[in-house]
Amino acid sequence: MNAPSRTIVAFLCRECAYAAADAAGSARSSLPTTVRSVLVPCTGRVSPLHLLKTLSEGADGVWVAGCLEGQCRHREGNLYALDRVTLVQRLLSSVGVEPERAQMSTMSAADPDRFVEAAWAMDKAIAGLPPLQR
Amino acid sequence: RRAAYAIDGYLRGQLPQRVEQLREPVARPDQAALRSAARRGRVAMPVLASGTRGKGWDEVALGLDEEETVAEAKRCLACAGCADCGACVQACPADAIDLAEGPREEEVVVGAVVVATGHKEFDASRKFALGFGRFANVITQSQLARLLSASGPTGGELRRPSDGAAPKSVLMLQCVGSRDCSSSGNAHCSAICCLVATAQASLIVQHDPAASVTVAYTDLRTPGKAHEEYLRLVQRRGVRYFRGRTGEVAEEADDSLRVRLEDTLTGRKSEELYDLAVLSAGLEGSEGTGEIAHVLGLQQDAAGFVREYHLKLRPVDTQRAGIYVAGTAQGPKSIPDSIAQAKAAAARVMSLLQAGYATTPAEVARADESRCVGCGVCALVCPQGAVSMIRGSVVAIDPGACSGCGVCAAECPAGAISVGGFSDAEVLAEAVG
Repeated sequence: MNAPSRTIVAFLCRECAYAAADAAGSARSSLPTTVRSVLVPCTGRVSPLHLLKTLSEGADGVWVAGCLEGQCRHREGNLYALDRVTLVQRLLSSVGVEPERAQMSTMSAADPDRFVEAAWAMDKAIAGLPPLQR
Repeated sequence: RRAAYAIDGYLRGQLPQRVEQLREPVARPDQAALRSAARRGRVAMPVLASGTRGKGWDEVALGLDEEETVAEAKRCLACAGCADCGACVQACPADAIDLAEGPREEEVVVGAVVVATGHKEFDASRKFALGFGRFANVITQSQLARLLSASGPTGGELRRPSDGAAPKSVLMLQCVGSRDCSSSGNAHCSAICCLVATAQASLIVQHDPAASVTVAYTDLRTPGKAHEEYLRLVQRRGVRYFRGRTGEVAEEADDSLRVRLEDTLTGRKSEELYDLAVLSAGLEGSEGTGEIAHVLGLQQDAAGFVREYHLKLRPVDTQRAGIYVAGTAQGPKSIPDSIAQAKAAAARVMSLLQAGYATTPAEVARADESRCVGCGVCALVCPQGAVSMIRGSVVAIDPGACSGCGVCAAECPAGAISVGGFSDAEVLAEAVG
């Protein structure tokens, strides 16, 4: 079996998405092998620099997964993250790169199915894109 | 009385005043006028003829008409009550009276806060089909508790509101505004209603053996010590438990209630007549809890309860250091559970305050003062208010208040802030390998 060559780096909030991913793993859910997870204390920790550098260093997509709106443990880190992902998308378009290479999802820790669904959706979105020209 | 003065002033065209700022006029009664005032007796209250009193529920005191009311009011000499004579100050042995005292706001410095503001009963009139607020004989469990109380309006005798008759058939409807996925309800189980209904049903059948009580439940939930045994006891006392949902409550000409029920075990639908319907309205977060959560920066769940730090491991801690939560402000729970949680919160406060020092996790933000350019973005974005600028130029982060989210580190244009375990280098090392 040929594993897909693309790589998606997922920045997962410790309070929700990381726990949801953990639960999805415990439930033996099938997850895309392309997604590599990075634990962050809050999606608010993820700066535009982290996303751009990850793309320029070889990732085909970056995915930020945080808490549902209004449920951030730190009150509003997820809202900052959404702003920054939007900023990165605009920066990517301005240099001719598909903006959907950077995406954000929100979920609760108690919803592993949502994590699985969002991970596959992210994988599908990146699979449909031509290789990233660096 | 100060409210009355404020309303009077407003109607006379004066500028509106805050009630608490109004000084009540102090009486300086004119002694000569008092002595010369005509003595007028109290206006006699007309009453129901004594022979007819036992025959109905009409009030014995019939009330005054307008003329009699005005005559009674005119007996007042308008001396404004307290004559400011000061005799009470001299008479009080504990020296407790201070005539100059008024309402005041106080600021206190504390080391910890426990939020124990309780809950609110679900407004049962939001379930329109159940008739609460429209039909006199549809009441809530808390209203029933008053009716069954020895100090209540009927002295503990169960009387239905419409005509004061003793109800012979009572229906209790569970899960009103709980375990309800419609827009007018809450998804959660309110946890206490099955036991509350069971206890009140038991009181009714013990007090009046001729009364029958039906409890229409979604699922019977009586977990915990001795609760299931109590449920069995009440079932043996003759209370009927019916697994069913209620479609609609309608009022008959004689004020009794026609209730459409669906048996959720057999799927059979039926219509039954009851003298009284009691709604087990669920618990939800109160408006006051919402206000205090906003002031303290705490999160609430969909039903308005304060979110705890961790449901299992830190159930009385909130997301903010030094602020704890106990009782139904945190979620629906019984009195024993509330007491246990209150004691846990008190113990958390004691361990915090008695240590004399505070420990902070390693994963908090730290600033490198030599790289700080003093822009202040970090202080602006910090959701916890943990970042301040010293003399407007150098950043200072309070490790006790920082929750380690890293929003400041991601915003800092100079790369001067780092989060323990999650520095830029550490995050990137994991991301790009």
